[in-house]
Amino acid sequence: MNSDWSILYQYRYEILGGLWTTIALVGLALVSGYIVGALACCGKLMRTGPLYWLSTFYINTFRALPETVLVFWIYFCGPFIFTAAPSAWQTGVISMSLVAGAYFAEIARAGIQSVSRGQWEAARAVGLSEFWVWIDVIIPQAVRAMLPSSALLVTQLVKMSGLVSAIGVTELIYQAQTLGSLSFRYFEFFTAVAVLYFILIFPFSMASRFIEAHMRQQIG
Amino acid sequence: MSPIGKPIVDARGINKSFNTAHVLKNVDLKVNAGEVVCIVGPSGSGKSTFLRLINGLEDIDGGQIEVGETTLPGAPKELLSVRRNVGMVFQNFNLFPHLTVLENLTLSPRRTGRMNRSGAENKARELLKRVGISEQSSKYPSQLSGGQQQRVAIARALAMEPQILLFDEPTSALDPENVNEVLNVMKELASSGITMIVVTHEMGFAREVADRIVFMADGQLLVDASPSQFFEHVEDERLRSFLSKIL
Repeated sequence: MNSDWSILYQYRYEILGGLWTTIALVGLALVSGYIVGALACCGKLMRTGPLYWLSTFYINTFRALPETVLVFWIYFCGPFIFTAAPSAWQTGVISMSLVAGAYFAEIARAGIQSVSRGQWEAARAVGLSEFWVWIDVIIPQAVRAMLPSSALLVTQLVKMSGLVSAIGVTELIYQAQTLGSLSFRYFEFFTAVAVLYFILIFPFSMASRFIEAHMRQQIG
Repeated sequence: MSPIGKPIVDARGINKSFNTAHVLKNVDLKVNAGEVVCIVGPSGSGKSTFLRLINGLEDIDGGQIEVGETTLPGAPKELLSVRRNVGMVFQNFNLFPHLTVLENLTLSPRRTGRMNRSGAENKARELLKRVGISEQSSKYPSQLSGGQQQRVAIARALAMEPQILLFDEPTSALDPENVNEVLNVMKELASSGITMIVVTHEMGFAREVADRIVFMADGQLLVDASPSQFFEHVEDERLRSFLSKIL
């Protein structure tokens, strides 16, 4: 097999464009996912009432649905629900945000519940108001506990972003497929894409492991 | 200690249940300013629960407790004012692991607007010196031994300059070699005149330091006596059986 790696250089702007689209998708999904997830987490922590049930329904649904189904469903069924059909890009952002939010809600809930009862009591006993109990004592510890799984969520989302190539979002996989079919150089393009994904994901999985080891050390 | 005036803690007819377990049954206790009262009794007798009602960590089901000028149960605002007047030391220390020793002490005085940063830090250093750990102020709790952590916890409880200190089995989670360093700090505090209510199994400490010893069993307060009476003259059957088991 003769390979021609110079073709990567020839199409560097298309590849980098795909990389940028992937990063933008994941970035947007993370930001909106954190917001949606934090709200759903608050609902879940109420333990009763309509907001609790709504959050529980949301979290369970979007964690259980295969992402592929969600992407196709929003893209093809969206027009029946929204007044305008969502574009491929919008579908990508919406579906990934919803999934990210559902996972992040559970990460946040677990983080908050990992803070021991004694910490709540000590914070109250020194005379902090409920607001400062959260800000000074609970959230800083919960966020630390959330870091490893949050880093893993990033890696999950990067992987999920590949799915939206199926509806024509010009991210990495879509570009590799298009360029590959144009030039019959699948090997070069998909190898390049694999390397790029690895470079995107590896730091986060390392960070996750590093933080986890570091925390175990600190807590003793 | 303070023969005149009203008691600083006055609990009347306290009842508390957890689900079907009736853990406190009509408990009355008065503590005067400057007194050291030790509460002893078998586990499950409700003594820790009673202590936790005094600063509102648990809700009172029946009866009321006057703490200083405030009465519990009360509105959230009253609860805060009680907690700022009452320091608490826990069995498991419960230091804030993400803050340094110094920050553990300065958090509440600063947040509640009681002191500015430099004032709170000066006070904190003074307290750390008092409990004998001034060298460790920039360390994190996990870097300290259990005895050191508990002494930091005592200093933290003092940082708000409370009138009353509550101790919930402060030496029960310690390795034996660390118990005395904590008890010594508590003895020094007791002689300084602060009001202390101590739930403990350390009978030697109670005998030596307490003005009164209170015996609880099955959610009832059965004996309230001076240490010499408590160990020698009380006829209560359950107290005798308790003492015979632990002495």
